[in-house]
Parts: sequence; C-alpha cells; structure tokens
Amino acid sequence: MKAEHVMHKARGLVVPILLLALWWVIAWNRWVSPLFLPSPEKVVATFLSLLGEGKIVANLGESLSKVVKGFLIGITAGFVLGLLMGLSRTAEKLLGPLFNAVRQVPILAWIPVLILVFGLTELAKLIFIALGALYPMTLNTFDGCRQLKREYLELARVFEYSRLRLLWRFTLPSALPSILAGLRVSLSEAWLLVIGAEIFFKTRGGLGDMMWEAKGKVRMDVVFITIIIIGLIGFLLNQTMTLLEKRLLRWRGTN
Amino acid sequence: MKKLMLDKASNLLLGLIIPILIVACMEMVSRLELTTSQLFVPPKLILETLIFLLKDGELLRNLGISFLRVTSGFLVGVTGGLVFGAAMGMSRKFEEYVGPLFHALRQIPVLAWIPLLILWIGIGEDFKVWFIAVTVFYPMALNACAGVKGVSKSYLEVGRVFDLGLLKRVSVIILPAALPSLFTGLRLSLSIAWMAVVGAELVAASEGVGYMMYRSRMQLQVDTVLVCIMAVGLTGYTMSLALGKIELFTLRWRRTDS
Repeated sequence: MKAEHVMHKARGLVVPILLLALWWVIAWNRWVSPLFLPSPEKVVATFLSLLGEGKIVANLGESLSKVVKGFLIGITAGFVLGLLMGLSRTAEKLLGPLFNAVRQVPILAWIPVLILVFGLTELAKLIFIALGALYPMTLNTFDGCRQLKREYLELARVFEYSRLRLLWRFTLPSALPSILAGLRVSLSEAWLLVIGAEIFFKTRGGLGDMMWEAKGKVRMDVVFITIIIIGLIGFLLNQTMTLLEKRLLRWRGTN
Repeated sequence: MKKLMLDKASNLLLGLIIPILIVACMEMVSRLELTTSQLFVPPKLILETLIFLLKDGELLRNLGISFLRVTSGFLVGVTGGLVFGAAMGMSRKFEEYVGPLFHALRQIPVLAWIPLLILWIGIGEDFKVWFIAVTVFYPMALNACAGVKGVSKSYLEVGRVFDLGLLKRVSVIILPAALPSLFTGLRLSLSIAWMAVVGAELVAASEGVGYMMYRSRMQLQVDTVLVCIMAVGLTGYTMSLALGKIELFTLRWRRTDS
C-alpha cells in the first residue's frame, strides 16, 4: 500500500521534471530566443538578485496589504448584504434583481467607471478589489441563511425563541459551511483582482506592476519570477483558508 | 392562479424600486448640479448616447468584435478543457502524471497570464483568443473531470458487460452521464470568457467593447462607458440564457429519467 502511494506521487513529478529538463535543453542550445525563454539559471540568478535588492519583498508586501484591506472590506459588505437578503424576503425582492443584474457585468468592466469617479487612486483599487470579494461572499451568505432546516425553525418557534437567538444559535451555525466557502472564494478572487488592479490601474507598486514593467522591458525572467510568486501566494492563501474552514467546522462531525 | 400572478407582479415591482430610485437620484443630482462627480450623468444623456451609438453602428461593431473573440476563445478553450478534463477523469494514470502540474498552474490567477502571453504572441487577435482560451480551459477541465468521475459505476459496468469499445463507451455512456457537469462548466466558462475579453481589450486592443470603454474613459465620456457596461452585461446575460436553453433541450431526456 505504501509503495503504491509513493509510486502515485512519483508519477506526478515525471512531467514537471521532464518539462524542466526540456526547458534547460532549449535554453542551453538557444533554439529559442532568450527573450522568449530565458534559461533556468538566468531566472534563478535574477530572482536572487531581486531578492537581495529587496524588490520582491517590497512589492509582495504592497500586494498583500492591498489584498487584505480589499478582502476585509469586501467580505464585511458581502456578509451584511447576504445576511440581509437571506433573512428578509422583502430585502431579497428589493435588492435581489439589482444585485443579479450587476452580477452579469464582468468585474473588470467596472474599472473605467471607477477610474473616472475616483481617479487612479488607492481608493479606486480598494473598491475594485472589495467589489470582487463582495459577490461570492454575498451569494454564499445568502445561500447559507436559506439552508436552515425546517425542523430547527419549527423547534425554535415551539420554544418561542427570540429572533436574535434564532439567528445566533441556529441560522448562522448552519450557514457556517457556506459562509466559510464564500470566504475562501472571495479571498482567491481578491488576490486575482489585486494583480488585475495593479495591471489595469497602472500605478506604482505591487507584484502586478512589477510584472507589467518587466513586460514593457521584455524581461521574461522577471515575468516568470513574478508569475511563480503570485501563484505561490495564491496557493498559500487558499490553503490557509481551507485549513481555517476545516478547523471551524470540526464540530459538525459527520453531519 | 390569481394569487400567483399577483405575487409575480409585486415581486417585479419591488425589484424595480431601487433601480428607479437610483435613476431618479442621478437625474436629480445632475439637474441640481449638486456635485461635479463624473458619475452622476443625467439618465437622459445615457439614453441618448445609447441611441446614438446604436445608430452609428459603433456599439454593435465593437460588440460584435468582442463577441467573435469570446466565441473563438471559448470554443478553443472549452474543447481543450473538455478533452483534458475527460482524460483526467477516465484514466487514473493520466491524472497521476499530469495532475500536480495542472493544479500548480491553476494557482496562477488568470490575469497574470496577460504579460506572459503578450510577450510570447504579441497583442494581436491571436493573443486575445488564446488568452480567453487559457482562462476558460481550467474551469472546463475541472468540471469535465468531475463529470466524468461522477458517472455512475453501474453504467460503466453495463459498458463492460456489453464489451463496448472506448469510442462507444465515451459517446454512449460517459458523455451523456457527464453532461450536467459539462454544462455547469460551460456556463462558468462563458462568464469567465467575457471577463477575459474585457480585460484583454482594456490593455491590448484597438477595437472591441473593452477598448471602447478604455477610450471613452480617456476622453472622460462617462455616458459611453456606462453604455458599454450595460451592453456587455446584457450580451453576457443573453448568451447565458441561450446556453441555458440549449442545456434544457439537450438534457430533456433526463426529465423522464427516474
């Protein structure tokens, strides 16, 4: 059983290793222009030098601070909105159609409007990121609220629980899985939009900007490095959220 | 029956309250000139701009270009994703070899592909189509994989009993059973495709809706920008509806399925 497991993992490494080898061979023989495909050594060397210059940490910090701020604003607003629509049918009927209509518009399409209204400022970027985080959070919170089982609702009515108690003790706990899933999706959306904001809003700072500048100067090696870092951070953020999700849902057991 | 109609009518009215309020607000604010903020343009101006752009043909032309890009990129990406995802779902070995790399690349936010692709294939039509294709590839592959994996074991056993060849198994058993997941993937991919095309056109295009938005933004024409937003939203929504209808039609045999 153990051997099979190891084999299974080993197979997963075959393709990446082959590709790396291929990459190295192509770059070594200069079959493709170094502008298209820098050699692995160059990429590593550039990475180390950028690290030394502190550029990576600085830009990374910039992007991370944006994602945290935008994410927090977005999920708070999203949670409130989702809760409102989930708990009150009237609110759902009032806000729902508008929300669904706005949802049809790809989030990137809001960029020109945001720039026109708020200018090329940090605020505009934050609102953009928050908007992106808002959608999934609202939908998931809304879904979660509606998931409360009939029996629990009846039980609460029989015991004449106050609305607040119903909310706190019943609705929210049963909505927790959806809400946590919403948090996870919102975070990865927010990370995506941070990079997007740094590319589309064209201002200084952040990994997206670093990547865009590198594109302008045709520094493929820097582009590679930034892509890898961006992907890595995205992965870590996702993993953190998943761990949080698992931890908070422990009490659910086999439910 | 009457209650149902009354309910529907009241729902419609409630839903319209806030949009109407917003429009009224915008009208009032611009009339009274309360703020110089760019956002509050009189709704009448937006309507006029919409009509003008439609007559001019410019809106439709750009929308059409974007639509073509979306469709081509969508078809390429979805086909690739479908084949790849189905392969991952059907063959354990294949998934073991390709899975880790697939999931690693998946972590990269789609927008991060833009600079790389621009450096590799420039900023022409190819770039936009490929970018959309790459964006669409992942959700489709994931859904295809899930769909194929979800095919009921009993169906597969029937295939084995009848000694069906691979092609027959795929076309008669696996594909129909995986269709619901595939359609979910298609729907998701469609909205992602629109996001991708707008993104691509905002930075690297001289035509298309995204470019139109970019240009009008530079020229401070809020009305045009808003018209474009509505156009994109509407087109995306219509395509979604169309896809939904196709889904219902294709899956009509399911309703009689126990």
